Amino acid sequence: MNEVVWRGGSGKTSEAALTGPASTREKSATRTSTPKTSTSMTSRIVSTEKNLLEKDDRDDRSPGASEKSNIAPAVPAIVIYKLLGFTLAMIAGPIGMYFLTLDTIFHGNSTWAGATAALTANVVLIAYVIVAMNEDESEKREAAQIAKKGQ
Amino acid sequence: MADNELAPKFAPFFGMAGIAFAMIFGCAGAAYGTAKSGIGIAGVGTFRPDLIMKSLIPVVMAGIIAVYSLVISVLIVGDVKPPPNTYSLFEYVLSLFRPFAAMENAKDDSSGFMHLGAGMSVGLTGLAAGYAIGIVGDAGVRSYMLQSRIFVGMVLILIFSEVLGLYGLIVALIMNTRTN
Repeated sequence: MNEVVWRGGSGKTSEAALTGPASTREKSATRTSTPKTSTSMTSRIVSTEKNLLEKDDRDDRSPGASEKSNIAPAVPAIVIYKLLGFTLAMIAGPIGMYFLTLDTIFHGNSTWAGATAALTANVVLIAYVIVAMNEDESEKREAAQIAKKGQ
Repeated sequence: MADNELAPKFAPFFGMAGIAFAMIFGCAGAAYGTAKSGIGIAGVGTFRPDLIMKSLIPVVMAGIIAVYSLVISVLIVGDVKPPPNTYSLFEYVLSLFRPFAAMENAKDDSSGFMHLGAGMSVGLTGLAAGYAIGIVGDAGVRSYMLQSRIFVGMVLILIFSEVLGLYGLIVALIMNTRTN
């Protein structure tokens, strides 16, 4: 009785309420399958009823609550490693080359060491462009292979 | 330390102002370029996630602008030394004013105006280049989502924007060379 009142006094039986919009879902399907053979519309199986707190988890209100979310990364690990590598190269590469070449190669001539640092930054950029282009091609190849298998 | 016309006590201010100019303006340009093209990439990524890797090129280019500023700042920082080294405004002839400088192990290889000019050169060209990269990056990746042939043109335009910052770096390096 309590349940009927809670649903806004609509007069629905609990059977009808349970097989609401989310009746195709697993939860409600198992609940309704047992009484169908033996009960009429008015009788209930008391043990399967939810209390007020559990009603918050109704499937029609929060459809994904009972399912496990897919939290696996959408980006493959190799791409993340590539991006991390380029980030590291961009941070450490130019300034590292400056201090590395300052005393070893250019013997304290900071101008050439600075030019080397700028050059290193551009080398990282060109490497990134090449890697990005190659990834596009490898994706195309994979797609072609999948298409072949499908035929 | 003798105070004279070409090496006043406030001379290091200009060198440090050069460092600040280089980093502030260069990073402002890089930040604008990254943020503006990042907006475009976020818009593209929701429709075509496979293009994200190639769309990140403007962000990498904007990062290089900041590297240019960093290089010049490091160069200037290396030249700004406390006394007994002298730090002049421009072309301070050491032997003329300080005959015993060699005995004091003092070096005179700095000039504040040159450092200020070098910092402003790389900083403000970096601002210009970052601004261009931001706008081209935003519009470019959005167009690339619809028409893949845009890519080569977009990269070319981005390179030309990037070169603006490179010119500033070259001039700054030359100016820095003149100081020592």
